[in-house]
Amino acid sequence: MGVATGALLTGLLLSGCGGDDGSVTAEGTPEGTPAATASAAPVSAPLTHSQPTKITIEKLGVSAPVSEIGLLPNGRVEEPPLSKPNLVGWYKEGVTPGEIGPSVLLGHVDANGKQAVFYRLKELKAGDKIQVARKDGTTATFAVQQIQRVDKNAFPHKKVFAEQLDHAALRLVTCGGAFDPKSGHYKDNVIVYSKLVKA
Amino acid sequence: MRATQLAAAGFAAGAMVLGMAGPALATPGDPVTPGAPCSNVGATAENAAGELMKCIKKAGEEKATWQPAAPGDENPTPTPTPTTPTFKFGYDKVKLSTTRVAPGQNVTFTVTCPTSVTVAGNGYTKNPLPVKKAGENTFTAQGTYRSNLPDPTTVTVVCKDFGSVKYSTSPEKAEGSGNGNGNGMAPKTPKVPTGPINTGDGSSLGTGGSPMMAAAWGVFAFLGLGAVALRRRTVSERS
Repeated sequence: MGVATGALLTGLLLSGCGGDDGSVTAEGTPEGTPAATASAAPVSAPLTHSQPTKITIEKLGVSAPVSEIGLLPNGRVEEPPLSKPNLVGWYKEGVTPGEIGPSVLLGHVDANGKQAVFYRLKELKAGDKIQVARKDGTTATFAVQQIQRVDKNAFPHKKVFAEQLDHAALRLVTCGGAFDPKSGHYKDNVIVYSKLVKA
Repeated sequence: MRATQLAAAGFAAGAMVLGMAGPALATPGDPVTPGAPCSNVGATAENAAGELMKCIKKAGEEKATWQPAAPGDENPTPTPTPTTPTFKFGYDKVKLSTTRVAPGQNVTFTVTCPTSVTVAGNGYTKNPLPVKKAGENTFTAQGTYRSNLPDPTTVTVVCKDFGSVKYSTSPEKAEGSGNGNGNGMAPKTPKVPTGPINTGDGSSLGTGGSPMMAAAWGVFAFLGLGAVALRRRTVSERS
């Protein structure tokens, strides 16, 4: 009886969480091939500077607060604390969502024993909407252009954080791919590229 | 042995005869014979005198033959496609008449851009600034700083399809932090982080990715083993 219960619990634990098991995923290949590319959607006029306060992704059931994150002394980007799985971090060294240029939001895929805010990020498809509420009361709506999975050690920092753009863009970043128990980290990153379509 | 040699010599001689009688295959560098048949219509070659010949099939004739080429029949030398240097937009394409930011101060932006330009900021009396075309690939935009200037005061210059540049009175500080120097406009380039971005601890995978998961595994193992031990004890007591 005990053995059966243990086995059942173990089985549930292994299969029930639905983690990234290396099967075919929406985000494409680790080499960075975009899995989905949006057709040319109309670009909205950009907004002025105003800090983001909340992100909503209706398709994924995401509704989360946004806080500031910056640069660490070692040059790496700060990550939201693992103790707050539903918190999204806005990279404050870049532009705010809605301003011209790439604005970057980071969120965990899982943290602290839970599926985190960007757990289902890989399910996004071209054209899906992302809404970011801002401190000035405006809401910037972005449409997904493409989603990419890249090897964490080949992350395109310059493209994601400092690409030369003539429009307002939003990039969402989380982890993906296989999990490396040795390092305690995922091997890949999932990047969602989107652009402002409504403000 | 001798028979073989004779056969080989005969074959070679036969081949030579056939080759001379066949169509002139203008191999590169070989002179062609005027009037001799040719197969590659339009091809040009020189005859023994160095004159340019062309393989032409005249109307009513069955086969094409080498004929004196007309002027202009020379194989044109392929001219390389002119490559225009790719335009790259950046701070070097924008000139500010002054970097001073103060209430009532006028500033003129002169922008080099092959498409169109917009200039927008948070400290001007008009926003976006009116842009005029000043010449080929050159635009100007003039603005006046308003009396109540935000800190930081920023302006973004966009060259359509080629990117944008941003200026700020506090380029080294995050915007909205209230730490602007307030009187000088300088380029604001984003700081690009380096290194891996770790946004997950594997705790949703059930593979022992986090201490919490390890603890959970421990609890399950303890419960399972405890149940087994209890069952064995019960069985042994019954027996």
